[in-house]
Amino acid sequence: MRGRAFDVVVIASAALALAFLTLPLIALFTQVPLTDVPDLLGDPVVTDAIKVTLKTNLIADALILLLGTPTAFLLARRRFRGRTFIITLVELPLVLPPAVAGIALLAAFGRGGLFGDALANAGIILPFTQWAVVLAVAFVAAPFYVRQGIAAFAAVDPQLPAAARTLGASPWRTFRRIDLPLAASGLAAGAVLAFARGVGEFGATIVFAGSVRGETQTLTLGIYDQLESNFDAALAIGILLVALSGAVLLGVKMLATWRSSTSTSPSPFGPTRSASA
Amino acid sequence: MLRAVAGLLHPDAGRIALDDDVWFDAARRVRLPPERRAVGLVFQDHALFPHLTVLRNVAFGGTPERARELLERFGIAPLADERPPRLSGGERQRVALARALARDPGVLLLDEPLSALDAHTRAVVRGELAAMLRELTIPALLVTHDHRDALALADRIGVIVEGRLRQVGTPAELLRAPADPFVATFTGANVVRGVAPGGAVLAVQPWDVRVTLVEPSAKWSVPGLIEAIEDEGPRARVRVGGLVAEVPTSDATHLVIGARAWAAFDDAHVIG
Repeated sequence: MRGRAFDVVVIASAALALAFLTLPLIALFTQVPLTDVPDLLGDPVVTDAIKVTLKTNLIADALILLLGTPTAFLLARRRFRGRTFIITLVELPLVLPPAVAGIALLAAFGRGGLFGDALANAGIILPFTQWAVVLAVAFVAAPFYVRQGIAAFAAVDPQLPAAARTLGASPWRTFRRIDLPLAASGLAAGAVLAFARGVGEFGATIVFAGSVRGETQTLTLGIYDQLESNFDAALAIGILLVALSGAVLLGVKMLATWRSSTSTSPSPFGPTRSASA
Repeated sequence: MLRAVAGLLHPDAGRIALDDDVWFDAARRVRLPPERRAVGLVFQDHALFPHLTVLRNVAFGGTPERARELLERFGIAPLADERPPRLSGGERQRVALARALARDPGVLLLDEPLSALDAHTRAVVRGELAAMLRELTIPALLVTHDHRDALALADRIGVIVEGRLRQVGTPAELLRAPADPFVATFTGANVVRGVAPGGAVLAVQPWDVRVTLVEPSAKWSVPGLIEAIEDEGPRARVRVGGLVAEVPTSDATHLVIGARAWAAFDDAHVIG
């Protein structure tokens, strides 16, 4: 193909792809008067969905941080047999279709499931409750945090915690004062991504928790529910979530710059004092 | 080896103890973790905590008061609020030393303390380190590949080759009487074979070798061509016949590369 024609084809393809990716988002903002959005968001269906989303996601994220941090630390630091396999297991929910995640959760915790009967006998029913939402969100979002966490902890120069130990610090003090602060920006980026993924979860939630208004209907499930009856409300929720996603993206970018300023190697660009013995 | 003494790794067999404190005993299954051993380890690339100020780095294993004392002593008190990435190599080394000492350890461990420095800083810091080590009341264990560091800083030197200890002695002993060819070359001596009778190997220091253009009347001599002449100020290093001789520059002015000459010496140490 001649040079000029090649350029044209490349640019035209790119233009088509960009249009495809941006036009639907633009349409979201043009199909409903933006001044109506606050009122639409005030609809009880929407406010219920906001409350459910916030409550379940915050609990899920707390669980992810609490259990995911030591997991990431262990997988980053210790070499043991089966480590690669376990890391693959942890990453599996990333590529699993969400509905499959939902049905897997049912298989584990639903009636007749792996733990379902034992839990039922103890008086705990999980499917179609708010805790089911928490579990579904945690299941799909945790790998985002753990994967980032592994990278963050692995990026810490192992000489540093070793030095801390030789200075008399216990393993816990070393983790708290050396590993954690140095991995903090990577962990924060992981937490933000996990949060975004969790808020956007649909398939696993609807299969495992259902879409009960005020109980298990999150914002994304709300969109689906309002499609027929109140399309404008569905659009309004969409706009809210786009704004949230934008904020998430911005947050991750800002964290990336914070991360590079606390890297453990001497900065090749930063000012150093002139060599004076 | 330093990491084993510090407790960062455990050898398969043996015993590590400081006076009466047993830190490691393979036979009795004693394995104290690093934080329970009274060590101060200075890492090769210093391993300073980049997210803490100099003061907090030094105070990490001890108290802020002790930290300030040590910063004064090493002349880096003005750097107290700086962060490691902004310091020069020599400054970082001093912070690393101060930090290791802030814990009041029973033994100071130094891992190649001068290798992270450029050549100029190295010589200056070597002198400072030698002075500091003389003032220390605790023993110091230093690991290095550079014989100049070892000879300048140590009271006793142990030469380890392929995991085996070949010789332990004072710097003077190692220079005058190396136990094997490796130790001899480590201290910069010439290893001469095929000259002494019976296949004996000789070790002779460059400054004991002289270069002559006519057959000398020395105890031993090796003929050859002058391969190189390096002018190092008042002295010159001359390679001839496979040996390196260090002679006063005035004695080397008449030497020409490629000329036939003899490397002659009277004092040599017989190895094995």
